[in-house]
Amino acid sequence: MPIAAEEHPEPVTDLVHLPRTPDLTAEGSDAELVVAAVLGVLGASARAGVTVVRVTAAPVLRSAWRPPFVPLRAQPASLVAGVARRGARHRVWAGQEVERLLDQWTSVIVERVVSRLDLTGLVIRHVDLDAVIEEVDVAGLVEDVIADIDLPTIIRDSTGAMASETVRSARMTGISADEAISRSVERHLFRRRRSPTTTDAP
Amino acid sequence: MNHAQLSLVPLAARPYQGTAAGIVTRLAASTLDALVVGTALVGVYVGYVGLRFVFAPRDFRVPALSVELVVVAFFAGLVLYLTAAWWISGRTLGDRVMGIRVVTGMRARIQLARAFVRALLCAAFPIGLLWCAVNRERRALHDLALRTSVVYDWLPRPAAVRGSPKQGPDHS
Repeated sequence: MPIAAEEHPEPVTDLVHLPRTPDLTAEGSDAELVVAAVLGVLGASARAGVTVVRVTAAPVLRSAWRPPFVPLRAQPASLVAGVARRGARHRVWAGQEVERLLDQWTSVIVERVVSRLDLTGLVIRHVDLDAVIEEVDVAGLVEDVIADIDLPTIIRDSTGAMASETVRSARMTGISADEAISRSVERHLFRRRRSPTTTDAP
Repeated sequence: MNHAQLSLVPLAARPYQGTAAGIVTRLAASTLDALVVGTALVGVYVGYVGLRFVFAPRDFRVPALSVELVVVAFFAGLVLYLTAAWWISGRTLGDRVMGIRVVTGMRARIQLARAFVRALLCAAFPIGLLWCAVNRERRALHDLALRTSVVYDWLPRPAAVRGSPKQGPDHS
């Protein structure tokens, strides 16, 4: 039984458009053949030229970079290396300076800029707060808060001894009595001890 | 101390939390502790008498108590009770009612050995407690000997470190 694709040989719609590559094996016109041949000759010539330059120029450059009769310290390679080392040090110093300046000034500049802006108004005008709130997991947030503050313990404590008015009253009375006795002792005992020095003073 | 815990303490008492407790509060707590130990000893005695009555009703007689035995039993019971309470939670039942806690100089709970020595001193020389009335840091003699303090702490559990114990707001 023949399949449907053979009965309807229309091309199936491409799901992904792939970049088309030239078919190098296909035979083209004579003009295309000539252009390809010229390009091939040019490419081969360029490669040969690069090889010749590399073979001939490398010894020259090497001898110029490290001249054989020049002291090591005065050779261009040594001079360039020294300059590079100094440059690297300067780069590190400049990076540290930039970091320091950023640390010093960023907060100041941001504060100055932000203080001139109505951030609340900007947010209200340009931010869809309802959409933001919808993104927030309020129930999860509340659960986290309750877990953090240990609500059951607070309820248990507040309904236990802490909530007893009698105990609270006894404690407050004790504190007040402590304060009164401390004041009295301070007034009578320590003042009496200090009195000789205070009477000598003018 | 977080805000949730802080809210449990009434506003008027908050400034005193962590400060040294005075003579009246400590005397009241000590009196309550003595009552607790005395009640427990009476309970033990009544239980002992009841058991004797149950096992030998015919020969039952209320056992006589000597003063020395009562004093020694009260002393031993008090030392045991104070040691256990201070070591376990830093507070006795009387301390809990009056909202105070025994702490070391580093605001930590006292160790077993120090709790035992402190209980011995308290039981042997209870009059030393009166020294906290005239001491500027509100320390009794056993506090000075063992470098402990008694602070107001109304919360059920030991609070976080809140600095060194100091006197109340009026005396700081």
